[in-house]
Amino acid sequence: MKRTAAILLLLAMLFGLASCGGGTSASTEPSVEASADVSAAPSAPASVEPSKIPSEEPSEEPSEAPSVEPSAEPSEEPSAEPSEEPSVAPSETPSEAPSEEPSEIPSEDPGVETSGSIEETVAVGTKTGDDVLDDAVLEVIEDVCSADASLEDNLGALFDWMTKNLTYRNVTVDLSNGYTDELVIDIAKTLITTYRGACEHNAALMKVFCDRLGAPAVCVSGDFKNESGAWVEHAWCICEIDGAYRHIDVLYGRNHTHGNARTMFLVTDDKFSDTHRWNAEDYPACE
Amino acid sequence: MTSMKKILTVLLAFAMILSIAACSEAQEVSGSSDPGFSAADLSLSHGGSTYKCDVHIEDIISALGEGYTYSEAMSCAYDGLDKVYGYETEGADFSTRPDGDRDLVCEIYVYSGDWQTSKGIKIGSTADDVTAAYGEPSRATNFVSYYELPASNDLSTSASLYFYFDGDGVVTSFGIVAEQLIGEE
Repeated sequence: MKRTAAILLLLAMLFGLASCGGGTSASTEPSVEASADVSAAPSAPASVEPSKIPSEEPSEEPSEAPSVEPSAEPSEEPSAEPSEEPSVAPSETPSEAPSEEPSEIPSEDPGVETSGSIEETVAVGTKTGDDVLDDAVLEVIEDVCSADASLEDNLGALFDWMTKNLTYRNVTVDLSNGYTDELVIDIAKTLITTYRGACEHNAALMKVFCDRLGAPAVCVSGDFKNESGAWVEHAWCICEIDGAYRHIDVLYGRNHTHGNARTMFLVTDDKFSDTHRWNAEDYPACE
Repeated sequence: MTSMKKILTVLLAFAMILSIAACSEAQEVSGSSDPGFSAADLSLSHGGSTYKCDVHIEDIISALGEGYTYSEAMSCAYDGLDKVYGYETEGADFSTRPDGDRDLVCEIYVYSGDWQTSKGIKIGSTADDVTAAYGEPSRATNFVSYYELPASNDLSTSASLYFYFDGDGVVTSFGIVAEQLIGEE
């Protein structure tokens, strides 16, 4: 009896240790590996001096290190003036027109049967020719558009997607040559692959969406009036839909309409001029 | 004989309890090291200092000095000027948004140097390192992964930590963004 009990006791302890050891291994290995992977990762790109890469685990902040965190008390005004002149000066006048003649929006000729995939029923317009951008655009169209919806509804769905998923980043865009095809592709791709960009990026991507759905569009350089009443250089697009031209301003809609972004979707000149100004001679009339 | 049985039974039960307790402890250790993302991860460290958004730019200048480049433009998102303070030597840009007469840091973007996140991700880390440290991203493309906190209202966009990758999935730059309050101007 004693022997049986001793064997049982031994078995119980062995079972406990075995199951515990297995569980420990299974549950902790991933985190151990993860930690090892991080520390074993390439220490720095070529442009970084390896000696400056800390080798210590960074989970704890140095006790003596200063921490730059939000302070409740306002600090003094900056002691130093900016080291360089502003790269972009606020404009009190409408931006320079990109061309003497009004921009012409090339007409669409999809020539595609209206049955089958979303690419055959909705994304029937013009591609940019950039595979990365075209694929990313199609992916969004597949997510938010419907073959049963009207062109306006599908454009609206894309507008909504942009207002909800893309955020502002203050990046300066060189518009010295206007909105060339290359620039539109470049900044639209930046926005759709990183989700962040300035007004120019939003204008370009909205134009690409419009073009792809068969509502040809142009980017517009102009100004909007901010809450202080100052005119601010800005960009949006004008698209042609059902034979009429309309303004679409994603960024203004998202940031300056207090949640009523759609008030900036397919807007006529008359209404749009309450908050925007542009050289009307350079762009199609939105009547 | 009966007392011996009792003793053995108690010992057997004790051994099993010890085994279970040991296993529970191991699982807790595992749980504490699970990847994840929280507000505590919205900071970056460099040169022994920690940097966060929503501080006034003067605090950054006090910490890093006045050797920065500067650019500004009227903001298309806020009422006032967008400003960028570029610290090329340190490999970081600090973007600000207007805050009355002052400017709050709304983004810290790092592209070189010894910057790292609170969980040790730095330039040269891999996409797998990032996932192991923070879990699956809130949003991602082939080029960028965002880890986002819930926004405080429907109009605002989330505070986030993001990583840019090259074609091989190696981190080339990263940064943190403050919550973007929209519609309050």
